[in-house]
Amino acid sequence: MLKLGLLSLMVALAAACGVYTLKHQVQGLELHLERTQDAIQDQRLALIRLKAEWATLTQPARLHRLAHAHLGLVPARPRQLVAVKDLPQRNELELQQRRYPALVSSGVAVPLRFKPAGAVDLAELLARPAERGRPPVARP
Amino acid sequence: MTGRVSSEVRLARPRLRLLSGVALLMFIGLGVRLADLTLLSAQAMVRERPRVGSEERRQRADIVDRQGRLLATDYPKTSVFADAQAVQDPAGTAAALAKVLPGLADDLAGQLASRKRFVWVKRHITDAQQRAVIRLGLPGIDFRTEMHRIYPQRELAAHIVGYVGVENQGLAGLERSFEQRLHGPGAADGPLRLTLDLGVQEIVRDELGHAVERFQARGGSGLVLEAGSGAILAAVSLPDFDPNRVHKLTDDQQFNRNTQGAYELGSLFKVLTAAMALDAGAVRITDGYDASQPIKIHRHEIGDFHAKERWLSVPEILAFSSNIGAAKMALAVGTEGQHDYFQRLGLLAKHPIPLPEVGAPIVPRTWRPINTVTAAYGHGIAVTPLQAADAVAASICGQPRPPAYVVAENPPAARPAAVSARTAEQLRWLMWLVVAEGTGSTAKVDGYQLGGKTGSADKVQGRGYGVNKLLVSFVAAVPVAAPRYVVLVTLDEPKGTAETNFMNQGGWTAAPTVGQIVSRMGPLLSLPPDDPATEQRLRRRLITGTAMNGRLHVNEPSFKVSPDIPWDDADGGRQGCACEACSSPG
Repeated sequence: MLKLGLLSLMVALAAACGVYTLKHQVQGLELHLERTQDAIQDQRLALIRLKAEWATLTQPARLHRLAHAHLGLVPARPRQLVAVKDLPQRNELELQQRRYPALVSSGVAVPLRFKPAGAVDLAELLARPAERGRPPVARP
Repeated sequence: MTGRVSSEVRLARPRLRLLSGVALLMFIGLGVRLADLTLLSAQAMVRERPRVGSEERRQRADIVDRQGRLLATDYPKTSVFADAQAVQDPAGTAAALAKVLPGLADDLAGQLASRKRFVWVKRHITDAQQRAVIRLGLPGIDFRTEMHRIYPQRELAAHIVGYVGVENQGLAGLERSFEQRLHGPGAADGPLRLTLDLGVQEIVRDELGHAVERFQARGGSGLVLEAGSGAILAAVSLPDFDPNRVHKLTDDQQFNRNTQGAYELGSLFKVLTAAMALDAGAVRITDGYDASQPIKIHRHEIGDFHAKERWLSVPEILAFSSNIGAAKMALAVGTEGQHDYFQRLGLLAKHPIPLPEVGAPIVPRTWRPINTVTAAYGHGIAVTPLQAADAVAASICGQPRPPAYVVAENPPAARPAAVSARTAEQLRWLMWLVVAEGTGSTAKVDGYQLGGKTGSADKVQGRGYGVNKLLVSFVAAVPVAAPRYVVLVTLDEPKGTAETNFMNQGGWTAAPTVGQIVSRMGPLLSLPPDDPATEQRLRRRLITGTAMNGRLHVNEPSFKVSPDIPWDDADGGRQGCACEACSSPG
């Protein structure tokens, strides 16, 4: 009878210790969870703030103004768009760079150059001075 | 002792057994329940926990453009408050706070001494200010973060997006008409995506702003539609407003000219008149009319602004914008035919765009011949610019297309084709001629073949028309051979400048504005330039000659269309409107 009582007491003590440890662990985990959730919330708020800030900083009007003021960029003109199939072949461009002196009847040597077969003269296109658009007007 | 069990004990034993049995059963029950809760039902209890970190703190869904750029979003704004009972040194606390937070109430120290549990110290502080207050380490001072609606693009799409009130409820624009979708359970569907393209929107607003400034106009509107799909890429109305600051808006600022303003658009309607006359077979594109005499109907006399006083071909009626010619075309169609055609184009009913600010068109109550004649050149019928752009798009596409829409989800169903593909092709050519040789030549863009039509309408004032108070407009299709975009600009009471020889008609004011818009938006939308063959193909139909101007008695250039080249031929198979989004919606 005494043995049984002693055994029960020990089991009860062990169970109490187990429960205490478990509860302690759970508390620790709950604290961790709460902190993580707070961190997630903070990060989410920060994300919303940053997205809004990004949208404000990348307003098309603002980019237009900054690109013009600091980089001298102007809007592209329609003729600056060229389809890949309209571009001359590389070897044609190389031929274009070479000059072939040819003697004309007056006895003067004139450098002859090849013109690419493609519809667009890329070199000329690139050499054209960039058209300066009128400076953008800042509006608040 | 054991042998002599008393009668009392004998009597009590069964009761004790019963009692201990009951107690045992209760403990077994408890044990089973404990095992059930901890081992078996544990999963269910975990699931019942509220999911912290879901979207419950967001109040309204974002509004974004077609590329996902933010137009409206909820923004966390932090405010400082005090629990006055927890504040230990009211005067010291107030002084410390004043150092890091500018503009505090003067009697803050008094309020902090009031023992109230809640006192606002300052609303809407910055992150840096919040960190500074935390660093002060003051007892009784705390923060509250609330969501506020902000519009990062400010004025850019203000009339479309709208704004919200102090309770975060939608008051105007899509914020109002899409309240259910943006607020409450609908918000879970994520951001509301529009068809607007902020890049194009900015170009239109910029160019329109310059035009309004340059011609000292009272305002203006600009629209860019995807011709085939009806998607609105840009819709600007000036003057506009900043939806972040809506406490003192004027009616003028809030007015969305594109959807609310019903205007008599004048000669712009000649495109529609030509479309109905050609489609109904009332006139052939090779025909013409005698425009030497003004038309008289009852007491009214209809003459031409650019009077030629001679026979005019159909292409010339468009190119020189002849009222007489347009009126005769409309009379050939007939009053009923015109009414039907306007109905099919959606000009007689409110536009179905889901904005709260949509105006009804103003149409004649009874449709008499005089109404037919004036409507032929856009008077006596007032429609919104959005309706007009839609009608022109339908007329030059000649294919089923949905009416213009601005919210990308659930686009409206397509309306049946308003005119045949053949009529549409003829119309595109006529509009090309207007820009190539007619009143719209100021809209020319290096690189694209444009089609267009000018409009300069006298504004209705009281019961009559104002003197030289015009509402000018220009509608363009680009590229005209297979239109991808329709652009419509209106300017309200522009004044001529030295550069325009003090002319204020649509050809001098609205047309160059459209040209500027197209030349900037084309490359942005990767619209390839037209090759020289396109212009040659279009020009091949044109027969130029000379004719005697009946008023000035001088020879002037005249235009006719070649009868030898068939329409809707295999010429590159160019028919209808190109539309990227149509084949792959969403």
